[in-house]
Amino acid sequence: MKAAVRKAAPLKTIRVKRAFGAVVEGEALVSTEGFSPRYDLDRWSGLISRPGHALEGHNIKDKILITPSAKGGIAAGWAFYDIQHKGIAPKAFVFGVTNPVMVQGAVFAGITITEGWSANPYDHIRTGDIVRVDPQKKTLTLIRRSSPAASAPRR
Amino acid sequence: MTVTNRDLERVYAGYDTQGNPLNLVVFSGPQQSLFEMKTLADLLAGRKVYKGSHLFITTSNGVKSAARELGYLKTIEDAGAIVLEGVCFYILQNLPQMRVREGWSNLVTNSAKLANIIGAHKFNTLLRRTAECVDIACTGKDVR
Repeated sequence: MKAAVRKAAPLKTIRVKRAFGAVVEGEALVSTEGFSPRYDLDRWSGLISRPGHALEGHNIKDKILITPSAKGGIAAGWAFYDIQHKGIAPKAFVFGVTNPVMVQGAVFAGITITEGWSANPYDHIRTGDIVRVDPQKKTLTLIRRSSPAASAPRR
Repeated sequence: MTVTNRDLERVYAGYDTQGNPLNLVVFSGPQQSLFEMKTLADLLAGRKVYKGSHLFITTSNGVKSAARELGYLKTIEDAGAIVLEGVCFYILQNLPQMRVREGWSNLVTNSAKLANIIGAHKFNTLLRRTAECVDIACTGKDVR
C-alpha cells in the first residue's frame, strides 16, 4: 500500500486585495524598491540592470516578483508582453500598489498580477523562498524557506 | 524646500564623461512639445551635428507634422538631427545592441528622467541644459 503523501502546511498566508491570472508557484524575488520593466530591466536578459536598484544583478525570469509599487507609464505595460515573448518574464508580479496600465499589460501578456496585501510580505518572505500565488483565492502563500545563499544575485 | 541655482549647478557638476566621447545627444522622455521643437530649431539654425555624433529628438506624430508646417523640422533635420515620432528613446527595442554597434558610451540629455533611467541599458549619462546639449551635439565637447 502506498504511503499517503501529505502536503506540507503553508508557513504563512497573506491575503492580496486584487488579483488576476493563473495559480503559480515559484521562487520569490523580494524588492524594497518599486519596479519598471522600462527603467530598471535589461529587456533581453531579464536582469535588473539599473545601477543602484535594490535588486540590481537579480534576474526576474520565472520568479514571483514582490515589489511595493509599479513605476512607469503606458510603455511599461507594453513591455510585459515583450518580456513574456522573449521568455524572460516572471511568473507573477505581486505589487503593493499598481495601476491600470500594469494590469492591462500583465493580463495581455498572461502574467499573474496582484495588488495590495493584508500583511507586509517583507516581514515574512525573503528572496529565494518558495511561494504560491492564487488569484482566485486572493492569497500569497509561503510554501518553503530557502537557504540564505539563495538571496544573493544570480546573473 | 528651497532649490537654489547653486543646488542645480552641483547636480550638473556631478556628471562626467569618464574619458569617453560625447557622441550621443538625446531630447526625449517626454516627447518634445511644439514649443520645444521651436527652441531646438532656433538653437540648431545654421549649425551641423558634429561628425560622428548623433542627435535624436523624439516627438508625437501631431507635433512633428506641425513642426514640418512651421518650418522647424527642416531646420532641425538640415542640421543632421534625427526626429523620431511616436516613441521615447528609452523604449527602443534594440537599444543595448545599438549602443554597442554605434560605440555609444555617454548619453547627453536635458531630461533628468532619461538621465536617471537609461542606466539600465548601461549608458553613462550627462545631464545638461538644453542649449548646452545642442552645443555638445555640434562640437562633441562638453561646455563645462
